[in-house]
Amino acid sequence: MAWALGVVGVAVSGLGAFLHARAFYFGWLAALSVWIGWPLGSLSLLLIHRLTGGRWGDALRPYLRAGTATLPLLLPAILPVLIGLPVLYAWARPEQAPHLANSFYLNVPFFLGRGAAYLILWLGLAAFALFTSPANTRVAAIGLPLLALTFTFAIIDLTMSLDPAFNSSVYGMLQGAGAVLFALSLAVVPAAWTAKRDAVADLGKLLLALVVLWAYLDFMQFLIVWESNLSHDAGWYQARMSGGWAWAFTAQAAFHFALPFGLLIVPGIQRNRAAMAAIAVLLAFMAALRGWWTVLPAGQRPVGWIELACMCGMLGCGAGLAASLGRTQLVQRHV
Amino acid sequence: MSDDVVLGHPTPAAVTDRICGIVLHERVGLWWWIALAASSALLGLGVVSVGWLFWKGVGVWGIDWPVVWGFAIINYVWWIAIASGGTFISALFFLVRVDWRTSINRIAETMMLCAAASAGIYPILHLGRPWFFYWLFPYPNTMTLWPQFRSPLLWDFMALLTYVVASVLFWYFGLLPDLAAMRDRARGRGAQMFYGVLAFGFRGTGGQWRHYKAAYGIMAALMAPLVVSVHSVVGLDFAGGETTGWHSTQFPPFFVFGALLSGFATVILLVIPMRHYFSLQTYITERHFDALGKLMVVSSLCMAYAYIMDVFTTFYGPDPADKTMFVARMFGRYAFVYWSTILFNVLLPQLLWVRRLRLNQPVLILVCLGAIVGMWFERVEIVVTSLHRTTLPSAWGDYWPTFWDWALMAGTIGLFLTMFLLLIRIVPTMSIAEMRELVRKREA
Repeated sequence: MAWALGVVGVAVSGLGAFLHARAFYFGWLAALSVWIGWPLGSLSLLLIHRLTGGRWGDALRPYLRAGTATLPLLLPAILPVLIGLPVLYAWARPEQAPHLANSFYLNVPFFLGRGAAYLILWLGLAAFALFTSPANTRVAAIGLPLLALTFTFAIIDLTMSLDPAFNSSVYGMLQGAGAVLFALSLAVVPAAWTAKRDAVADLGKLLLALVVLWAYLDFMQFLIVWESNLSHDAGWYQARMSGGWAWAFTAQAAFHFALPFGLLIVPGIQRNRAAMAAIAVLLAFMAALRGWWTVLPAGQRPVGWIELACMCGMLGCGAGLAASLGRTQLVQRHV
Repeated sequence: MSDDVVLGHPTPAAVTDRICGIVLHERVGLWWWIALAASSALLGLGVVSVGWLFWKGVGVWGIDWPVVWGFAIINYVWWIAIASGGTFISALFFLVRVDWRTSINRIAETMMLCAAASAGIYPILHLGRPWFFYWLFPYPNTMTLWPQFRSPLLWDFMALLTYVVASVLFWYFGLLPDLAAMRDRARGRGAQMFYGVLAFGFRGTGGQWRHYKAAYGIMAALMAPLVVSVHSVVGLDFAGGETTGWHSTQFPPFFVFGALLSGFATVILLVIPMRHYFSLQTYITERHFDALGKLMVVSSLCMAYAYIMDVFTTFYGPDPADKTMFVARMFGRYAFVYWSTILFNVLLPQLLWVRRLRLNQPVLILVCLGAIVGMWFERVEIVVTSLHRTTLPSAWGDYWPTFWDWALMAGTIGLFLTMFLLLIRIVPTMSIAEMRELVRKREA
């Protein structure tokens, strides 16, 4: 079913590319920026578990491994972004790039070069996490800080640079926390049913901790931009707090933080498998909304059928691939 | 290396005997008197410097335009960070059920209390007219005086006050069963009365333990977000300003990372001599140093990440004044401050990747001392180098601390050490109740 959703989504978004290229490029970038959190968030959780151990990781391992194994999907998925660079980014347009103060960093050759380096490192780390024995911790310890740094710079390139004037030092940390939360939510959906009873409560606590961390970082960024009220920073929020996006902003506060937080602090809910799965599904949906809210205002685009098709296509293909790989020797060998 | 958190098989009774004995029955060593004399001398110097400050005013310090925030804010942030690191060990690691926390949580909490006291006096002194400090608080008055609720400084006051009160309560509440044990073990009537009053009638009944455990868990759950909030608000004090180098959205978590690094370092520096002088090798093992050393590496890597983002966003961002300031920070007259920060907070702790070095106490002491000095330099870097290159070049100026700045700083170090030395002679240096539980669990 996931494959069907993915294939139909990709086909419809392909049609959208012909009819309305701009909508497609922004919709695809939003979907990609959400999906990339799944393999990379899963990878980071696998590496963390190698170093710390704990019941939570044992319960999640098969799903995290399946999520990590989908990383090669990035290779075809990045192509529309590369083709649409001048549509998406002011710094990729020859007429605008020379006027930008940060064009020394935001330029097409440098973007492609560092992007290729990130990709090689991520694929290497994913291969390490999938193919080596869990007792091998050294590479995990070195890999985690590298993953954090490369993810930060990659997500700055992909989404923060949509508005070249916007400059937030916590952006990478915030998006990283969001990515790990997204990956954890997707792993908790099946793990809530398969984990041992004690481990379910551990998953609830971990989910709670990440919800709080994400909300803390998000609120700190908002608070500092609000109280400083500088045009280049506040403008980023202004575009995302006017019109229909104001609802998306409020919905994130309510359903990406307040409701899951209120539910997850109740010990009875932490132990309830159905409730845990439902909260994880809610968090995954909110991550998708967050992706649209981050990317689409930069292109003055609402969420239309093309954007919806892109998100379904990307996440559907990711889920289909994860489910298929989950049954293979690749994922099963260390489970 | 032994991975045990306790060496051998001490019985619960032996735990109580050993820990109570340190305070109740053992004579203090000469080292304690020498340390107390030295720290009291520093404290005395601090008292003199505060007296001189009150007599002459804040002009005795090196602060002037444009560097109007000097040692007072640098040392406040430095001390409160050290305190916060202690809370992380005692509260956060309690919540995540880390077994090695049991032996060192009391040392961490006592350290937090002393560091919070040293931190707390700075903002009061920095007010210029400290006798009006209560004006910070929104209270009904006839002067139409009302604090600015949009200012992080007001929230800093609130957060610090809440943190200090909650820390004292958390520390004291954790002490209750131990004070009761001390009361029961004390031989002299005076000591029995003293600990009896402090124990608030704790008798160790089933009902009392049930309530105690539930309340302690709730307090730990409150302390963990509180410590993040107090240091985040300190970060917001800076990030809310338009000053070059301060408007950075990562400041709240960045300040929390710094708190972890300096707090862990201070705990290690206190644990090493206490383990030696009180012969606590049974309860503080290599496992503790291994775990704390790893935490030093993790917090140092977090700092490195924040430093990288600091450089990156400055040059990526649109503000030319920020860039000018940062070049001055790296290559100007305060360059030694910036590079010392990098050396002590990022490079030196990387030694602790190697397990052999984590267990080598001279190396550990060197790295931890380095981290504490490095964190102090970082605050100098944030406060002084940002302010000395403001957006208006005609207003540029330097800052150098005076004798009285150093004297007050020495005084706060004296206050910290004096308080700590006295407290470890009055209250148990480890949680007897938790240690007994740990020992029992291991035997089971």
